[in-house]
Amino acid sequence: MIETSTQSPNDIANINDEPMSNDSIFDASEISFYNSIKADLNKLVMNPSDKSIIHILDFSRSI
Amino acid sequence: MSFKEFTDQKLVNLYINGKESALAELISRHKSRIYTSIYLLVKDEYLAEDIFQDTFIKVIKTLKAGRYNEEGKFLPWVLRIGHNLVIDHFRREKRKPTITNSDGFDIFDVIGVYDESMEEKMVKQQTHDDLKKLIHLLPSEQKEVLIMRHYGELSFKEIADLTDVSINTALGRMRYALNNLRKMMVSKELTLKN
Repeated sequence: MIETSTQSPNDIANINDEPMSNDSIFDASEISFYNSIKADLNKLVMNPSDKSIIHILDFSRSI
Repeated sequence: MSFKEFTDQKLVNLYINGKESALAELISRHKSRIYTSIYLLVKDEYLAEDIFQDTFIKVIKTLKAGRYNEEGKFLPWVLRIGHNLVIDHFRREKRKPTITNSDGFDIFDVIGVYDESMEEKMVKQQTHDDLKKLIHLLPSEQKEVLIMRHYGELSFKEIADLTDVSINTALGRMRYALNNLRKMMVSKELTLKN
């Protein structure tokens, strides 16, 4: 199914660039919920191993 | 002026012109977002490491071949490469992350897959692992948008371009992701410690 946007280009531009609190598509409870889990989402951030990064940099130097 | 003050574009230009340390700064700056985005999709640290490395190998080859256009932003471009490699991996493995074609998906359709021991464990475990498990339960398209928006900090337009859908679809998937996460948390009587 092809979805078409019913919003004007200005609405879409606003949605693209501004925080979710300004997106008219999200209601207050959805924005509030997202804000409530942001800190826990941030706790899921992980990093690659130093070994991976060394491999990448070694590769770059080799070519 | 240290590299940390340089824009991504400036670092890319320095790297293309032979400054290897500029690549190190780019990786350092964006590694968390890129790696986390890949890991939450594939759910395997070792696989995520491999795909992370493969992503940057492609980045390096493109930059050194002079094929990078300066119009796109660096991070969305790298995330797109990583995302495509994840898709390639699942195609090779002939499995899909979770249910596809998930617009309108209701989490209660699959929530019954929990067995009692997992349910008890989740209720008792008041840690951020709970949220990770819930994210993994989301349909792949919804999980993708949530990951790209939160960890990749992409705009919905960038997410729509990356996943080849309309902006409305990307927005809708984000709504479904949030609502499904909320339903699961209520269902499992989960509260998260911030």
